[in-house]
Amino acid sequence: MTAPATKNQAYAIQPGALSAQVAEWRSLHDRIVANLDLAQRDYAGSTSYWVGNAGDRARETTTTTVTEGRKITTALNSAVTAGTDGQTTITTAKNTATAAIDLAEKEKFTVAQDGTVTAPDARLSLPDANAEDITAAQAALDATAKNVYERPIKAALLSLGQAIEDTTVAIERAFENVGAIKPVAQTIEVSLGERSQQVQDILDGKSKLPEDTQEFHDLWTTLSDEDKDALWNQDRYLGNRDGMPATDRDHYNRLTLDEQLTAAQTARAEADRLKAEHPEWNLSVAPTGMGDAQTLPEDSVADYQTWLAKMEESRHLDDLTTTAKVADSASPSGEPRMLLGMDDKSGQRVQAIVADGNPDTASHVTTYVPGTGSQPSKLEGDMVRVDQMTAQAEYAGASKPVTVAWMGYDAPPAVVSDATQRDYAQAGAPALNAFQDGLRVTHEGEPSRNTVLGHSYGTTVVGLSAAEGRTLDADTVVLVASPGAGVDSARDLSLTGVPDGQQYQHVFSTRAENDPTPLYENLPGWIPGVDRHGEDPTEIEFGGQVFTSDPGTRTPVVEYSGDSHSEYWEPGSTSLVNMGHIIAGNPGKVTYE
Amino acid sequence: MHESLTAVDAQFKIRAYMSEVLAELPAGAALSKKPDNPDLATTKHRRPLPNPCWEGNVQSSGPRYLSIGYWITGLPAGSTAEYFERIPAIWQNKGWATETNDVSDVAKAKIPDGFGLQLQDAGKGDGSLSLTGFSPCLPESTIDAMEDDPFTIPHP
Amino acid sequence: MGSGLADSLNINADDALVLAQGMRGYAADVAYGTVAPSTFGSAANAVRFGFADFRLADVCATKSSETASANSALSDALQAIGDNTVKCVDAFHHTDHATKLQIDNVTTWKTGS
Repeated sequence: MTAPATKNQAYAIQPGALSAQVAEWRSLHDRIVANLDLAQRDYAGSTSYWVGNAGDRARETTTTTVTEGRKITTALNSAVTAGTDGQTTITTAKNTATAAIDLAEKEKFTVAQDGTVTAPDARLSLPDANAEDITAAQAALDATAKNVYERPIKAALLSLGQAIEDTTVAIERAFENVGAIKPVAQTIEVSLGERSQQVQDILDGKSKLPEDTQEFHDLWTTLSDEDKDALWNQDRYLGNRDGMPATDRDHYNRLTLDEQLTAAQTARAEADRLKAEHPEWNLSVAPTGMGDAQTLPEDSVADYQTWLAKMEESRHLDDLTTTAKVADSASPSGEPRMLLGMDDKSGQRVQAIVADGNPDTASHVTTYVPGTGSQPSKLEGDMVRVDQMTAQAEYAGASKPVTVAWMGYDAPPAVVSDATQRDYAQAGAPALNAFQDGLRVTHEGEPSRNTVLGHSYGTTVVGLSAAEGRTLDADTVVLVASPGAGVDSARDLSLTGVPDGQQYQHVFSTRAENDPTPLYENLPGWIPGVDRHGEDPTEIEFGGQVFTSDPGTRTPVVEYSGDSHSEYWEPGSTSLVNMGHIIAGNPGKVTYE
Repeated sequence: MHESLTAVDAQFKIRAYMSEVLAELPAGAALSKKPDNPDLATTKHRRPLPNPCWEGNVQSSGPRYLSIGYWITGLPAGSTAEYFERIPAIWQNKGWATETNDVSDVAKAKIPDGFGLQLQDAGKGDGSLSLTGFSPCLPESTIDAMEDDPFTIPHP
Repeated sequence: MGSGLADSLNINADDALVLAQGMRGYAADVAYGTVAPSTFGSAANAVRFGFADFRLADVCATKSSETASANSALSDALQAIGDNTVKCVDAFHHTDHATKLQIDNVTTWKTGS
């Protein structure tokens, strides 16, 4: 039960004193809020220039600290309200009490400290009255004292006391948690991180990673995981570097694939959303460029531009999706596949390199270069061929064969007009050559027996990778169904460690009797003497070793069938058995034409 | 294409044919993903390979045929060449069209229902024989239902 | 390896130093709210004068004091974050801004309480 205020207190208290207190709290509140807002904003905005766990923890700690700090400002805010409201009620109560007391005292009534009101002596105002009248008058005055003055005065004093207590309680409540606020973080030992100066310079842009494959390998294998991560962070396509061990290539390429796929999915979802919002665009009819936007209503032009941009951003979605699926370690074979190459920037298509095992620890490494029409979205079919070649090499006696599907170049998309363009092969040849160097550099232990096997247009890339000043570091070259390997004879191929004149011992080719590829000369668009792919490697003039393939699908009407072009991997087929022997290094067991 | 043949059925049927051959080999013989010969590979593939039945590079979806491979284990020492002759003879007895290549390291059997077998000698002495089975073409939609083949198929 | 401070994949030195200095500034500004020459706490005296004999003044005084302590702790925490940001720059770039900025505390933080 709160004590009422006394009469003296009613007059003495200065509600205005609370103004100063409220102002003091409000000032601190505003100061803290301003700084916390800035701190939160600054650290939240650091993601672009501070990448990694330390940055994340700094941002997290800032958020936690700011949250704790806001408990202070919340308390201050509540206290300000309590003080302001309190001041108002106290002022009203004070005024009511003092007014009531003033009123009584003006009429000569006496007000005690506790509000008890005593009537004045009636004789003072009635000097000539008789005793009876004075008694009556006194009684009236006494009644007035009690009923008219005392009751409201006592009530007012009680209210005043209550108002002050209520305000006090409200302020206490406002601050009740302040004692428990702990924005302080714990302390742990510090040691500055280690990073080699060489890597630091690269990260700071003062120098570059070695271009040479061997030098790159020699540096890379000395680096800590932290250094490797930092270098990858600087160049997300570092996993494509020849000279980097296969396990690291796989690790970093998967990270990049994940990022790129997510970005493409997000962009495509946005494009689809916009398209759904604008059924009037009628996209199936025409618009592919901004020229058509002229016919669009003005308010949808911006959306259309965005849609175009998002479709462009997500142009590799199919390729990336298939690459991800193929690289998934839950493949038909028991061993995880390795993503040795993932490049969606250099060419028009996604360039992917997928191995069915680790080439660095393999006994035999076959690089399979597909040809016309091959692209990442067809990669699954190519992986079955990869699986077949590995299986066949195993049955032929290879102790640990690995096959790599190499699509590190833009293959021409269609047979008829594009396959006559040597440019595609020219573009791919250096990368294939460098990839072979990389295999040698990163291989552990005894050197593996390496075969480069091209199919169809892939044979032209293979041929050119060993010609025009380049030397291919492979033991064997196999050309399956070649329209021309880009060179006129086996002797034009340069293979590491193979003396001139002996190339033929390392070059094998085949075609099925009903395969049309030697007839590219007769296809439309062919200009004699221009865009020649070179001699048919199965002709005697080429000078390579020609192994047998089954004749291929025969149709009664047309002697050559486009279908037989890709039957070379049929299990049990002569060609596949022969390929297995070539890969395993058993040239004596190959059946030749 | 065998439209009503599922991949799982084909998988079991290939293994059944392989067991059928195994039954005619000595009691200690079996089929395993791991060869007796330490110089040869433990074959990578645990599940049948789903080979495309179509030709060309343009298509990426269509009927598939399966291939499953094992090493023949547990044959007596020095008997590789002998069994390379004996197994095709076993096939012929069953009425399957059989042929051996010129180099005499690969023999094939064509079973009338469209399935097939291939025997290969890796040429590394004991434990060099591998047996691969094939199915006819079947619908692609049934491929994902397959589970791994057993690591070893014992003598029945 | 080592402390979490070295755990940056990339940190732009210039931007991060500006970030750190900003934070150290906020820490100082927050501190000035309750540390001399601030007169924070003196308003409770006015309340005591205006509300003699009532516990209101005591409550104001006590709570202001607690608030000042909490505020000081807040300022210290912000300062620590700023200092450690500098140390992260140093850890990554092999520089020594910490000495130049006279960051004496050899401690860092951990998230949580």
